Amino acid sequence: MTGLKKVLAIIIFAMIGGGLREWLNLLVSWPQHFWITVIINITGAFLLSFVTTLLPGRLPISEPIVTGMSVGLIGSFTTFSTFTFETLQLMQQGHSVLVLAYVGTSLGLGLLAGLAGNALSIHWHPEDNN
Amino acid sequence: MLIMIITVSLGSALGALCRYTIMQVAKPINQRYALPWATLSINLLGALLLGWLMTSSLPAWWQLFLGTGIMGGLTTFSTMINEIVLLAQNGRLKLASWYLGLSLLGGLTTVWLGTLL
Repeated sequence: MTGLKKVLAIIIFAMIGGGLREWLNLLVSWPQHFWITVIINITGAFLLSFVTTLLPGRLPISEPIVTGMSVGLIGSFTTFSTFTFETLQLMQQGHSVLVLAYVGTSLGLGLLAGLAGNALSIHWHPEDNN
Repeated sequence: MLIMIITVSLGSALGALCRYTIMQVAKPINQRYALPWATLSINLLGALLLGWLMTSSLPAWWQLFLGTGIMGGLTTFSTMINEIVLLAQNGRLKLASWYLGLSLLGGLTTVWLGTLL
C-alpha cells in the first residue's frame, strides 16, 4: 500500500509545487521575466537535500510524504524544460550576455545552492550531533 | 489567475507521476550505470516536447496545461543539480562534468529541435 500512498502524495505535492511555480510566474511583472525561473530553480536545488536528508531525520515523517515532497513538491517546482526553452529564446534574440548570465547563474548558483543544501543537511542531521 | 494556477497544478501532477513511473522502471538501469540516464532522458525528452508545444499553434490553455504544467512537472532541475553534487562528492568529477555538459548541450539541442517540428 505504500506504493499507492506514494502516488497520492506525489500527486498532491506536485500540484502544490507546480501551482506555486505558476503563481510566482504570474506574480512577477519584471521586464526580464525569465529571472523568476532562475530563482525557482536555485531555491529548489537548495531545498531538495533538506527534504530527502534533514527532514526525515528530524521529524517523524513517513516515507510516502518524503517521496511526495522530493519527487512531487521540489521536483515539480523546479523545471529543466523551461530553463532550456528560455535559454534558446535568449540565444535566438541574440542576447549573448543574457544567455551567459542566465545559464551561468542557473547552473553556477544552482550547483552552489545544491552543495550548500547538502552540506547543511548533513551538518544539522541529528545522527551527526551525537 | 486562479484558473491558470489550477491548470498548471493539474498538469504538474501528471508530469511528476510520469517522472516517478519512469524513474521506477529505470531503476535497474540506473543502478548499473553511474551516469543518471533516467533524469537525463526525462529532461531531454521534456525539453524537446516543450520546444514543440510552445511554438505550436495550440490554444494558450493547452500550452499552459501541456507545457508549463506537464513538461514543467515532468522535467526537474533540482534532481539534476543534486545528482551532479553527489557525483562530485563521490570523487566522480569527470562524470559530473559530463552529466552537466550533456544536460545543457543536449537540452538546448532537443528544445531547438522541438521548435523546428
